[in-house]
Amino acid sequence: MVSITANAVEEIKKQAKSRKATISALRLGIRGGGCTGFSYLFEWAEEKPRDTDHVFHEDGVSLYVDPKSYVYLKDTELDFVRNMMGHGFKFNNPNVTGQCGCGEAVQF
Amino acid sequence: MANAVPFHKNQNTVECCFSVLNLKKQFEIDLEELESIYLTRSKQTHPDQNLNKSPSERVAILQEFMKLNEAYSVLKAPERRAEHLLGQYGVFIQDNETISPHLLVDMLDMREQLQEAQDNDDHERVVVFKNTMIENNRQNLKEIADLFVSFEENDDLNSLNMIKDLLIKFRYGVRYLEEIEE
Amino acid sequence: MSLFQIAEPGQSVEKEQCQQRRAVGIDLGTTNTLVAYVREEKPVVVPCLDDSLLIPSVVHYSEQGDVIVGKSARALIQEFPKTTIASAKRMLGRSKEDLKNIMEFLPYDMEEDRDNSQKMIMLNLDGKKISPIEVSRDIIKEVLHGASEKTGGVIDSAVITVPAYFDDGQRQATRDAGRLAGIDVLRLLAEPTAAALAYGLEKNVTGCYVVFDLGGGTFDVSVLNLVDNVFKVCAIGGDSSLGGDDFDRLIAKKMLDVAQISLNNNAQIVQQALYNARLTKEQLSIHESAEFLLPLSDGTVFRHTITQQDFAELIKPLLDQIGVICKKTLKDANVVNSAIDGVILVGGSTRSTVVSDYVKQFFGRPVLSDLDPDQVVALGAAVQADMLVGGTAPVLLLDVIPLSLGIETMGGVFEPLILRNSTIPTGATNTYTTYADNQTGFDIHVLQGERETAEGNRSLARFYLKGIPPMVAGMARVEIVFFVDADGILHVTAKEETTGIETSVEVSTSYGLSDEDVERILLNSFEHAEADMLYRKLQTARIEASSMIASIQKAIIESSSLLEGNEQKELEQSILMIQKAMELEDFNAIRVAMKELEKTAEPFVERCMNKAIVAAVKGRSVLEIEKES
Repeated sequence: MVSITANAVEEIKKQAKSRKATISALRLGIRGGGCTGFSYLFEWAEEKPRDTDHVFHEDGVSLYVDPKSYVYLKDTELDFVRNMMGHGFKFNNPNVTGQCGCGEAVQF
Repeated sequence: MANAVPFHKNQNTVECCFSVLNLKKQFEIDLEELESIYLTRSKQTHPDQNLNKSPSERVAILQEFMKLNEAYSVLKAPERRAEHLLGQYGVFIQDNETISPHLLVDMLDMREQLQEAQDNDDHERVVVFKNTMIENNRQNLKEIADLFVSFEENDDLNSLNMIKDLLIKFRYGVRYLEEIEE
Repeated sequence: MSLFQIAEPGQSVEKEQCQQRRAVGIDLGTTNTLVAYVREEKPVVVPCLDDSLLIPSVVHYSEQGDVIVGKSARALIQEFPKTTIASAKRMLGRSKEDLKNIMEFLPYDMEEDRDNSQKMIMLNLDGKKISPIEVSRDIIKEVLHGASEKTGGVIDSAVITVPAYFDDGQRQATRDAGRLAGIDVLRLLAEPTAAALAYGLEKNVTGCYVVFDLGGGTFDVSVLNLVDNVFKVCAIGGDSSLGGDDFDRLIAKKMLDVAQISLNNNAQIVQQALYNARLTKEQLSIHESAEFLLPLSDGTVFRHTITQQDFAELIKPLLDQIGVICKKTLKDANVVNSAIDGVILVGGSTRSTVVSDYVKQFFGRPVLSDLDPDQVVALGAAVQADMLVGGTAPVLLLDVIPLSLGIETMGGVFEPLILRNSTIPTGATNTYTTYADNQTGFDIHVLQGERETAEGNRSLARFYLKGIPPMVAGMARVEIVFFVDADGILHVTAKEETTGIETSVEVSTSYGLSDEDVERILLNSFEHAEADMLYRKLQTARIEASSMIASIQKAIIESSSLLEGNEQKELEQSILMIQKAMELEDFNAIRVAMKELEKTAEPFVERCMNKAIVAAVKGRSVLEIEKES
């Protein structure tokens, strides 16, 4: 399953509020491309999940993951951090074996 | 089953290979210079050297490369160069070109002798025929070269016709040698 | 460590900051396959999961539907001769007729695919039909999978090498195998050219060179000029069905003759004989003589000593053939022996002393073999892959097509449009007309070869161009355009000038897959992709683990005297761990446990290997020595 940390939940709710959307749902996915492998798809979701999606809830926030991406994303934890490099969401994915130089693409 | 019959276009439209390679239009060429120009131009026009250009540019460059290749192979081989040059001067060898009867008789004679030697497994004689023909070809080419020089100086059409005859003879010679190899 | 922001729907940006794609070079050999890539400016072969560099080009299709590739598959040849395919490259772009000389050594059930193309070979594996193209696809998929894991990247494109003498059908089949494996085939590169590239860059050779490439199943000879960063092929020659495997077959046949065993209905013993013939041949590369062994059905062992001299005599007819081809190629290139600066040896079969002696004697010029003849082709392919993807080309490769291409004209004559040894890419246009009044169509027959008659050459495609308006004979103008791309593959379009009707021809469906076939097979495979990936990871791990356990157990039995102290117990413990992991279907756990076993077994295995080497040198089997000690 895909889990969401408390920090991430808080930040998502905050951003959803300022976005004035009714749904605080996110779509997570994996796309081919980037220098040596895949890149993450991470965006606000449309209204409802698709029939084939895996859906996860945490304290009012929902995540939709399509079946193909789920193969690579299961056991991932979505976190939100603030550190020296700035602030943003982080994917803690045990399936990732390496990253390319720019950090944008990941390998499994 | 209906098969195709070759139709040969008006040969005047063939582009001058010498100009494609920026060489002087004459039979004698410096083979090293030809090679060097070809390599330099290849590096500029080969598709692999132009991967970053736009698709339409790449199509145009590819056409240039193919033209370059064709010109190079024509100019490199003396008999093709000679034929091409004749064409540039308006003299063409037709498909069913009639050759002089006495050349025909000569060729038939030589063929018969070769056949006989081959049938009798007389390898030494075959080798003699082969070497004779190689020498003949060499002579023919030399004569062709001389005739072109004469043409370039005197502009006489007669030289061109003689070159044509020699070329036909040369071709038969090449065919003859190929048959020995088989 | 990258931090992400939430994007608006549909706006997740495809980050294209890295311009480099991971592209590799693949040497898809008859006997072995290798993958290489450029790392820090140097080409290097990627080891597979068990750290060996060469992956046997063998695929086993189990009853349960498993696809096993490589060493593990090769180990199954004796037991499952009909469903373990070892010579796929020999069958690419070929018909049954093409293979008749080696048919008695091929144990597979083969038929020709009558539905789609007329003559493509289909292998019948217990009811399931598969083409050699799909077998090659499975090899490519497997080696790329291993390479991905080892390099930590996903590989989406490759340069695949082909024998220079591969014709249009064989090249298309190779390219299709790559496409079916899901990668972008950047280029089909001729093997001798790849080798020259590797030597040119690594050893900085310049001048006129001959590449003599004798692999397991194919022979190529190529004359190149390496000068001023241009590698120009002057001429090529070869035989795409002549290689080290044929030496094995000659030895096996001779031995079976002497032993008075027929090749018919003896599939298993024939395969065993072939395998042992190869071992004997390899021995003869290092020793003056070697012993050929063959266990017979009655329990006895047939033995026969073969000397290097015997071997040379046996393969003389093939060497003579090779000599004829070399001579013709030198002539085509207009080069005499004295003008050659060196001869580069490529391919495992050039390791044979008899072969390298022959080469030295034939050319009388210095011979280069310092780059590993097994790896050099893959290394060259990696260099070109890097160039094509990176967009920079420090070196220019000018390659040629091996055989003339043309069409059949009236009277069954072959009219070549593009001559052999023409530099590619190249094209030619010829115009044709009708021979009868009101003739509204042409039969266009595209062929490849050097003979004067259409019948004597290889048919690539036949198509009927129709829609010519009825006219007097000789009035229609049909332009046929031949274009040979940088892969050496032909594309044909035909255009009738008065009507402007244009048709493009699909060339080479006689021996291979049509574009539709390729699409269909690809779609089928995508549907199963996810399930496949995980299942495959697990299956591969299980199969390798079983194999490892089996060989350790065998060694424990055969070489029990070499075990020291507690080793046997420790080994059995480690084996138990693997078996547990296999039960749990946890492929990570299986891999970890395998590494443990490897470590534990290392000293014991080394002792066994030392003993085996001693045995080999003395020409006996390990079992025999065991009995003595």
